[in-house]
Amino acid sequence: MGPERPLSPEALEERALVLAAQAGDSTAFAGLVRRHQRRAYAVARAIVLSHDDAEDAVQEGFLHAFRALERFRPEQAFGAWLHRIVANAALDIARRRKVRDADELPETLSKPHKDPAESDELRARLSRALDTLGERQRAVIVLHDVEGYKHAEIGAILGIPEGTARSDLHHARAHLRRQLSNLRSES
Amino acid sequence: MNVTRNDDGRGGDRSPGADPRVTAALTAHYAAPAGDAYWNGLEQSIMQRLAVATSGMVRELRPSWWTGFSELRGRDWRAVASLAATIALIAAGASFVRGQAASAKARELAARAAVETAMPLPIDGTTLSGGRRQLSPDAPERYLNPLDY
Repeated sequence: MGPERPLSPEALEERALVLAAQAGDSTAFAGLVRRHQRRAYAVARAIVLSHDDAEDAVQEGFLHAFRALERFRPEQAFGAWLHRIVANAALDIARRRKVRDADELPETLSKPHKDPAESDELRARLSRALDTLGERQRAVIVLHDVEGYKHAEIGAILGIPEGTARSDLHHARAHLRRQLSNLRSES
Repeated sequence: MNVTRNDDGRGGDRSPGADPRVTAALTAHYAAPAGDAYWNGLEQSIMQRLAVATSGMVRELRPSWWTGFSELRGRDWRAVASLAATIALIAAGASFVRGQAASAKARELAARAAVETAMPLPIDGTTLSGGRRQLSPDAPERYLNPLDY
């Protein structure tokens, strides 16, 4: 093993927050929430089908993280550890949702956070295309193409090998390209 | 509500194999809420939920019974050791006494069995009547005058 790299001021600050939170300081934990909630939301949103479920997953994830905080080693990357927890919470919610929605109408699926600038037609087509995509492939393409995670990072977050993330990305892109091809030729 | 890219320096042109049109659509579809008000609200609700969830939860200082040993000092250790030794001594003594009693009882039973084997005694009426039935008619005479037989 080589010598340890010096930590950046941000990393040092984060480690201090983690140590304080581990000692029971809730204000420090709130600081960690503030730092990581956007990325946590992005991870959760890539996995679940709606904004509301993503919000739930983020809350669940932070709750689990707080409970497991004593087991976290401060020399680890807190973000990577948290993202894995949030991803698991999101996968759990997605599974529960799948069971619950089995008898409901498909319109309840894939509710995005509505952007007025986005055309209804495109939104509807994309929602349908995403619904026909597998849960894992959908998460991989969003985490990679939208959120900019690398294959190895996606593998770590979703608990899959890097090669699987790579192949899922390839299949997801091909699927969406096929599903949206008419729209592209129409426009 | 306004939406924006929910990244912190990631994304953009990092996906060379992606169809830009599809990526743009995905980006819009998965955009996170913009504005600090939303995130402040989310942070508050996370902390509130955490407070509710942990209100009845006392964080365990000693998650397991054996973790208490790590807090013992030298004098405490001596007290614990002498207590354990006393308990062990009492247990050994009790076991010894029980063993002695058991062996005494066994010896008594063996002696009684030996006596009964050597001199079978009639215990109840059945045995008496059965024994008498096996006696020869001249048995009393033999017992009284053994030299004549």
